[in-house]
Amino acid sequence: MMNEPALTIKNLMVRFGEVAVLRGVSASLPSGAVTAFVGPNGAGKTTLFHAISGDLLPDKGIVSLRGKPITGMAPWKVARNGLGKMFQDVRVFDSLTVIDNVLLALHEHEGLSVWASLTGVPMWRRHAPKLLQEAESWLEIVGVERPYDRPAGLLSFGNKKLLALARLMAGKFDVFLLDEPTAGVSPVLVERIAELIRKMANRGITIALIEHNFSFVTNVAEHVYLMREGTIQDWGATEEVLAKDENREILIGL
Amino acid sequence: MNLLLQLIADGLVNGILFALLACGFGLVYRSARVFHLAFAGLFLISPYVAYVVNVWLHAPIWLAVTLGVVAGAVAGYIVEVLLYHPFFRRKASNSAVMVASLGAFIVIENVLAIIFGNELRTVDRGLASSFDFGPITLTTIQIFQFLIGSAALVALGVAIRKVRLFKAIWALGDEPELVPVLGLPLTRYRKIVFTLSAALGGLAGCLIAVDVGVDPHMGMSYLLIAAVAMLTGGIDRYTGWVLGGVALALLQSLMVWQFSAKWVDLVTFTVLIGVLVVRPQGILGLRKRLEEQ
Amino acid sequence: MENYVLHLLTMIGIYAILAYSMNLVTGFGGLLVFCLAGFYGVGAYTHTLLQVGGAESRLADELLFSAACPFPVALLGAALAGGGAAIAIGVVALRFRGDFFVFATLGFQMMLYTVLYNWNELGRGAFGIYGIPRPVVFGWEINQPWEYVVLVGVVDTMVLPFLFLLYRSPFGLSLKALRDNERAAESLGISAFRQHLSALMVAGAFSGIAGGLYASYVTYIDPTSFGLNESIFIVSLLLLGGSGNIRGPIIGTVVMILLPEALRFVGLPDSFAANLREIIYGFALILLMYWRPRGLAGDFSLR
Ligand SMILES: Nc1ncnc2c1ncn2[C@@H]1O[C@H](COP(=O)(O)OP(=O)(O)OP(=O)(O)O)[C@@H](O)[C@H]1O
Ligand SMILES: [Mg+2]
Repeated sequence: MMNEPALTIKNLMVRFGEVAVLRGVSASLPSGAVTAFVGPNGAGKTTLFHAISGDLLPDKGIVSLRGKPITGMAPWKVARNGLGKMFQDVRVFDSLTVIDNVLLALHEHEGLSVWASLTGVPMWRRHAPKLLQEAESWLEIVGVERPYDRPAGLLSFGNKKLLALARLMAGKFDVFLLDEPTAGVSPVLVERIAELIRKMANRGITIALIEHNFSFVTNVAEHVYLMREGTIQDWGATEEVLAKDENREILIGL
Repeated sequence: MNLLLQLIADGLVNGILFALLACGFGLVYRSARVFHLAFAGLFLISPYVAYVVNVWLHAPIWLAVTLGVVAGAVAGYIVEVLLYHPFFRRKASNSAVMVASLGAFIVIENVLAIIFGNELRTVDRGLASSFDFGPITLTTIQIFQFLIGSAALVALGVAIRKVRLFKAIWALGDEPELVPVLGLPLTRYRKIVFTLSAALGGLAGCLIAVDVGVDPHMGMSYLLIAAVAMLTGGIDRYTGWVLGGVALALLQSLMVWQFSAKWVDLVTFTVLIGVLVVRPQGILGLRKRLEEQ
Repeated sequence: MENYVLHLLTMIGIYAILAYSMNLVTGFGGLLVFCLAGFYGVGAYTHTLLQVGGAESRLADELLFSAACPFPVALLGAALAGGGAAIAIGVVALRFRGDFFVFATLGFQMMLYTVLYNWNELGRGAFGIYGIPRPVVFGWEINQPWEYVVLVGVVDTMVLPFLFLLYRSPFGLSLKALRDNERAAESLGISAFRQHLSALMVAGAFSGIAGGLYASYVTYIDPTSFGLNESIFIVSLLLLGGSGNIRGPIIGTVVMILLPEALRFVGLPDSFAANLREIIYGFALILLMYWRPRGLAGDFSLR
């Protein structure tokens, strides 16, 4: 692949008790590109993302982010290293307002401590309007439904997905892991999400996504990894991988 | 050295009692996933009933204990029906159930205090004779505690492994959503669990009361012991609960031997911290947590 | 009668600090803790020992060179000690989640009580410490009930704004996010452990201040004022009033302080009344959890 990888995974293994869910997965994400992970339900895609982001401790294998090993690091540390993630089940902060959801991602991590919150009062008060504006502009770019000052829990499912995306974009991440960004979303929104992803990739952000929607994958992803039963079955340029008969059988025949 | 042996023997006897409590508590936590704080009050009902039967009505001690355990079991049943089941039907959160359970504990504790007073009550057990086993001396009461307690533990252990009903109850904790789907009577299982738990706790309570007496405020420190024993041994292993209880009691004996009896309560907490050190991920490992959120 | 009202006001002022401290941890952080009375007690004992020094305690004598610190310094010491105790507890307990976290705090509460009760060299164990000096603040000696009301009022107005500020600060926002969904918050780079520990520390420090105020108000402390019952009382007043905002805790405090006073007028024998009060708290907790888990005026219900 053309450019140097932003994220590499070597021989990752995860087992739940007796069941091996990932049996030695290796992959690399070229930086600034969109890579899709496809495969039948239960192939271990979500587990792979969990193991990368630190939500799950892999039994074996190495994950490195721009050459720096992050295997077994706590999720918040991984996030501070620049890896952002959107969960399959969305997970917005229900009781926070829509705009607060984004504001939280905008704050410097150091600014969230008690000390900074007390001593920096004038600071965060002064910065508040600016941050608020920035948060609002992210929400507008993504197109989350207004008003922004109601609890995020009240949003529709599709809008929650958009909000999760806005939150991610507002944070200072340069690698995104998106777990099924278009599942359960109307075709109009799917198109908008595709556009946002391309825009992010153009800004140099490396994106990995899990998808079951193949026209979407062909639309946005340069590279594809095909997973099956915890292994990488095939990988390469999107058209090539999706064109092969045996791959189509795994994906659609199952 | 003889003192140590004696303390170890005493510890083993106490350990059986702790194990009974741990099983009473653990059974509920394992299968109904309720953090049963009310247990701290519930297991004291039996000894008080035994006290009434024995001291007020002058019945023999074995009858008093039997009636006490039955009364405790009934109380456990009532607590499930009146307290936990309504919350369960509402799908209330764990913390809410725990707080309500704590409320029930406070109510039971103080009702007992109003009826029986705050001071220690002892049952009339006659003069205890004692037996020498080499360097060790055990009272008849201790021997009875040990034998009855072990019998109950063995019976429960066999039941959990062999009897279908108990196996199903054990499986309850793994997939609570699955049970009604499989057509199993979840509500009835829960009633059985809470009744049995209270009976086990009540038996332990009676055995404790026969030896050292009972006061309405002693419940919570025994509950701590029960819960820590269950944690130490592993939530999913019945034998672990028993071993955890015995281990705690032995450590308490060591504490008495090395320092002073007034610090025995600290053993429980030290073990709690120790469990954390040995299992740095906490009791519910990272993976379990991921699932639950 | 007038003094009685002033007494109630003082108690409300002290408990308001406890309620708002607990609110930070429970209402914002989503963590139910049963050891606030422990921090309160640590504060009360530290404050007392810093003031009386060697007169009452050999250990404190050696440690503190019979310091006889002035009141404000002692109060500051109480805050530090309360915060320190909270950190010690948090480091261990925060490795658990859910039921076992709550249980661990409950265990620590009982441990702190055992220590206070049995460590005679520290604070004379079960006998308690008598004759705690009345506060002297910059030359003003506080004796009268109304003076205590003023003192507590002044401390409250100095201390509570910090908490209110924290509720609305980025720190408070991150706590709420953790409360809503810990995994998602961590995926934004927020450390649950660090934020929760900070919240506990702040709550512990402020509870320590409340403890110092209490000790110098009643001038006699013993471990029974800082046991599990007290922690349960604090939890009930927060759950009753409701958490996650500013109005809930104060409503809970006022109701729970006045409720037993109402019982007093019914004229029950003293020992019986104490138990009956506890029974009422117990039922209140059960009914509250069943019908109104978010309390009278709360924004957050336990999950
Ligand atoms: N915590 C867990 N404990 C045990 N097994 C698990 C756990 N999490 C996932 N699994 C199993 O691992 C396998 C892979 O799950 P995973 O969620 O990674 O699949 P997926 O590829 O994301 O599927 P989908 O496309 O449906 O989202 C499944 O068989 C699942 O049952
Ligand atoms: Mg998945």
